[in-house]
Amino acid sequence: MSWPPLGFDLSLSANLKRTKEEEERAQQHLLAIDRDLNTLRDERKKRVSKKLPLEDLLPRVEQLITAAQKLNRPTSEAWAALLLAEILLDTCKPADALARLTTARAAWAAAIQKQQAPERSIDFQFLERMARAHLLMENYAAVSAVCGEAIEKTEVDRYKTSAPYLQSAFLKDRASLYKHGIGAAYKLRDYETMLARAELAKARSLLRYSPENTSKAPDSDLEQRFRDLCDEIRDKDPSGSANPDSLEGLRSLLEERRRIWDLLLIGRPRLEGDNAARPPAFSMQQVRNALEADEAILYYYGLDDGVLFVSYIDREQLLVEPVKVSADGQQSLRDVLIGVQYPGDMGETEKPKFDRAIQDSSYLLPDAFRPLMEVKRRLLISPHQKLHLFPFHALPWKKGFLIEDLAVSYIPNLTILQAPRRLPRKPRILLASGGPYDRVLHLTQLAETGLEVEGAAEAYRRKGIETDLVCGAPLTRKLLHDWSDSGRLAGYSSIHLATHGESVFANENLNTPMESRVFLTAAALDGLEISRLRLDADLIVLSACNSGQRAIRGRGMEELPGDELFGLQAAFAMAGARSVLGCLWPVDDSLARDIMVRFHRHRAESLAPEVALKQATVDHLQSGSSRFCRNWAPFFLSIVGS
Amino acid sequence: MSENVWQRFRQRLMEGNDQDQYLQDWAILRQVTLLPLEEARVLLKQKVATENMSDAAYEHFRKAMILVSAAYFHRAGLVGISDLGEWQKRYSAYLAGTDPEAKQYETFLSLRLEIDKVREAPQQAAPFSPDELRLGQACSELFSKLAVPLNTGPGLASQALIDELESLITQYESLLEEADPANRARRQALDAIAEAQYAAGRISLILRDYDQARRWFQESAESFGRLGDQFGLQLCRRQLSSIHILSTGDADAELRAALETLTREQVPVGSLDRAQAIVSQISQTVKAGDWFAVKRLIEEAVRELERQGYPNDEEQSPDEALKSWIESVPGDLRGNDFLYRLSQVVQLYAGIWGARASLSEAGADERLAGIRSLVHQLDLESLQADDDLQRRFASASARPLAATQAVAAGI
Repeated sequence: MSWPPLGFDLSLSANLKRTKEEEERAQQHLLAIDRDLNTLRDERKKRVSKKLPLEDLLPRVEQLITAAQKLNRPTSEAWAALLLAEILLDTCKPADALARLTTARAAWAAAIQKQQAPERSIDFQFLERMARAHLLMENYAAVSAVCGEAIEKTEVDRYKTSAPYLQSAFLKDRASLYKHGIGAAYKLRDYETMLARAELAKARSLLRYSPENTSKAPDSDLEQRFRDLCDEIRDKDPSGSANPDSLEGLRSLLEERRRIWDLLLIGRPRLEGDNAARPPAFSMQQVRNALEADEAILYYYGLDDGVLFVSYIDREQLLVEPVKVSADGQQSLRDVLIGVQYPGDMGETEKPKFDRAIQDSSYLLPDAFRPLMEVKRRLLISPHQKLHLFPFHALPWKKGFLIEDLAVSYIPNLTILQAPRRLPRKPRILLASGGPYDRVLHLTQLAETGLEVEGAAEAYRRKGIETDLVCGAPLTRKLLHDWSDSGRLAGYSSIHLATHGESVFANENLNTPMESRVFLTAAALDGLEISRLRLDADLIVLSACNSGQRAIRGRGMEELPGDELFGLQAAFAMAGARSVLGCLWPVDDSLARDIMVRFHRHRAESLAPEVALKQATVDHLQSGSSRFCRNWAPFFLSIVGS
Repeated sequence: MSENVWQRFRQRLMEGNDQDQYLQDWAILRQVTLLPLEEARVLLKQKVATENMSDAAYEHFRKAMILVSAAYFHRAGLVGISDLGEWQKRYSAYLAGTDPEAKQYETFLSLRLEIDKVREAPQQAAPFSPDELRLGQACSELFSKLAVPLNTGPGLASQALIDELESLITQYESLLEEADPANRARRQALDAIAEAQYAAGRISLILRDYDQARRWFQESAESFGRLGDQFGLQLCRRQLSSIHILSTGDADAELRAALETLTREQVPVGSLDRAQAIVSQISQTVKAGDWFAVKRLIEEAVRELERQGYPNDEEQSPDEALKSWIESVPGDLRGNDFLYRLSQVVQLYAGIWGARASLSEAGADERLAGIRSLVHQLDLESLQADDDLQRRFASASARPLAATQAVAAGI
C-alpha cells in the first residue's frame, strides 16, 4: 500500500502541512496537561512525606481539570479529578473528596459510554478513593459496597490472563480494595463475605484447571518444542546454575522456553470450558460439608497494618479473631522467616534462637480457638503471604509441638476443599533417589538417599504393595519423560524423590521461582519441565532441601498480591499431583531418612498422609532424636489439588 | 539534528518515487544525448541493458522518453502540426535556432526511433481512454478533499471528520456507479475508498467508539481484499484483532499472538515482526504490572531492534539515532513503504520508552517526548521532501535535457 500518493499537488502538500502543524499544537496542549499533572503528583507526594500543607495545590489541579474539559480529554480530566480527591483525602476532607469523586466518575462514565471495554483501571481508581473516603467516615457498609463493586469488576477481567506470572501481578494495584473490602465485611460481622473476598486473593489460579485436563497435551508440536528446548538447555548447562549470559545462546533458549510454557498454559482447557470462566465460587456450606468431625481449619489473612484475621472453621462453626501483631510479635515472625531461609546447616547456637522465635509467635494460635482445637485430631492450615514460610506444625502446643497432638496439613485456600474428595487409588508406589551425582553438577554426595528409598520400599513390599525403585544413574530426565508419555508415571498413586533440592530464594529463582530445581544423577529438573509431566498422584514426597518452599515475594514485588503458588509445589500440582510433602528448609539426609522411612511405614499401614507424617514425627521425637525444630520440622504436607 | 540527516531522509524517501524516477531517467537521457550519435548509441545500449535496468525501470524509461518528446515538441512549436512539410520546416528552424538543447534533441529523436532495436519494448498496456482520463481526473479532484481527513491524528480527531469521510466515500461510489466496469481508473476510486474507510476506523478508534471502528475496519478490509492489497488487508486485520481484545478484555488472545510470532513463525530477515511482538508483550506486562518482566523484555526488544540495524544509542538524542535507522531500512522499501518502516521503528522505540516511563526511569519522559516530536518531524520533512521533488519535477519537465536537469535530479 502506498497512500496517500506523494507528489500530488503543491496546494495539497501545504494543506497537509497546516493540518499536521495544527495537530502538533493540539498534541502539545495535551502533553502540557499531562506534564503539569505529573508535576503536581510529585509535588503532592513530596509534601505528604514532609507533612507540608497541600491546600494551595487544589486550585492548580482545578485549573488542569478545566483545561482538560476545554480540550475534551476525559482521560486527563479523570486523572486530574483523582489527584484532587487524593489531596482532599490527605487533608482529611473525605466528604468533599467523595462529592468530587462521584461527580467526576459520572462524567467519566458518560464520556466513555460508547466503549464496550471501559478503561476499568480508571474506574477502579475512582472506586479505590471512594472506599478510602467512606473508610475515613467510618461508613463500613458503604466501604463494603464500593469494594464489592470493584472486586466484581476486577474478577471479570482477571481470568482472561492465563500466563502465571502475569496473572499473579494482576492484583498488584488492586489488592488494597480487596483488603478494604475484607476489613469492612469484618466490621459488619459479615464473615462469609469476608472469607469469600479473602478467597479471591488466595491462589485462585490453582483452581482454574481440572487435573484431567492437565494430562492432555493441548498442542503436541508445541509440547515437543518445549521438550527439545529443555534438552538443549540441559545439554548446555546440566546443573542449571550457569549465569544465562555466560554460555552462548543460553539466555535466548531460556526465554523461548518460558514463552512456550506460557503458550502451553494459555492453550490449556479451563475448568468450565469458557475462555473467561472463573474458578468455582466459594461456598462456606460446601467447605463445612467437606470437613470430617475431627477436622478443623485455621485460616489466615493479613492486612497491611499488622492486623491478621484468623478464622476457625469446623463443621459447626465459623469464628473470626483479629490479631493485632505487636512489634515484638512481628520481630519474632521475621526471625522465623530468616531462619527458614537460612541456607545450609544452621549452627548449634542458632537452633535455640530459631525455636524461641517460633515459640514467641504463639499468638498465631489465638487463645479463643485453643479449646476448640483440643478436641480435634486433624488441623488444616491456610496461611497467607509470608506465613506460607511459617512452620505452624512446630508451634508450642500443650507440652510439646502442635504436630505431636494434631495431624497438620496445609491448604492454599478453602475453595480447594469444595470439590468432592476422590476415593483413594489402589496404591502403587514409585521410590526414586538421585546420586551419585555427576561431577558437572557440583553437588555434595548424599549417603543416605539410597538407603531411604530402600527402607521405604521394604515397608511397602512387606505389605504386598506394588513398588518400583529407581536409584542413581538410571534416574534420568529421559526416563521420566518416557514414563510420562507412556502413562506409566500416571499409574503411580505416590511418588517419592530423595535428592538435592533448591530454594525458591536462591539466585535467579527469586524472579523465576518456577525454575527452582531438584537434581537427578546427571542433570537438573526444574519446575517448568516438571509441570509438563503427566501425573495422577495422590501424593508426591520430595525428600529434598527447600523443596516445599513457595515464593512469597519476587519479580520486584515485596509480596505476591494474589498469593499464588510458585515453586516446586506448584510444578507438581500442574503436573497432576494432589498433595506434596516437601521441605521448608535444608534438611540433613540422615534425619530425612529416619523420618521418611517412618512416614512410609505408616503409609503402608494405610494411614492418611497427614496422619502418617504426624505419627512419623512423633516416633522420631520419641526415639530420642534432637527436638530442635530445625532438625525435625522441615517436612510439611500441602494439599495442592482436589 | 544536522541538515545532512534530513537531506538523506528526503533522498531515501523519494527514491523510487514516480517523479523522482523521471528525473533520474531524464538525467540518463541528458548524459547520453550530450555525446556524438555513435557514442550515444553505445552508452544508451549499455544503460538500458537488461543487467542494468529492470523491465519495470525500462518501461518507465520509455515513458520518460515520451515526456521528453512532448516537452521539445512544445519548445519547437510542433504541437498540432499535421502537415509533414510544415513540420519538417519548423523542426529544421528549431535545430538551427538558439535553444541550447536543440542538438541533444536531434540525437534524442534518432535514438528514440532506434530504441526498439536496442531493447525490445515490454508488453505495454493500451493508452488510457477519454473515459478513463475523466474518471481519473474526477478521482484526483476528490482526493484533494480526502487527503486532510486521511492524515488526521489524535489531536484533531472528531465525528465531523468521519462524517466528511463518509460523504467522500459516497461521492467516490457514485463515480464508480457511473463508470464502465472495465474502466481502469476505477482502481483509483477503489483505493481511495479503502483508505477512507480505514481512516474512518482509525478516527473512531481515537474517539473510543469501538463499534463504529470495527464496522469501518471490516469495510476497509473487504475493500482491500477486493483490490488484492495484502498489506492493507493485514493492517485492517490487526486493527480488528486489537478491537476484539479491547472489547472482550481477552488478554490471552493478544499475548498468544505475540508469543506465537516469537516462538513459531519464521520471521523473515529484516522484518520488524519480532520486535513488534516483543513490544506487544511489553504492553501486556505493563498492563498486568509485572515490572520484572517489563524490564527484561525492554532489554530484549532493544537487542532485537539493534540486531535489525536500528540501534538505540542512549547517549544520542532520538533524532541523532535516526541517522542510522534511515540507512538500515532495506533498499527495496521505497517512498511510503520507507516512511512506514521508519515510523514503525520510531513507534517501537516510543513503546519501549513509554514502558520505561511507566517504570519511572530517569529521563524516560523526556526521551518519550523527544520521540513524539520526531514523529511530527518525520511528517513535516516528508511533506517538505514532496514539495521539493515537485518543484524540481516542475522545473525539469519543461526542459528535461537541459543542464539544470542534472541539478533537479540531484546529480
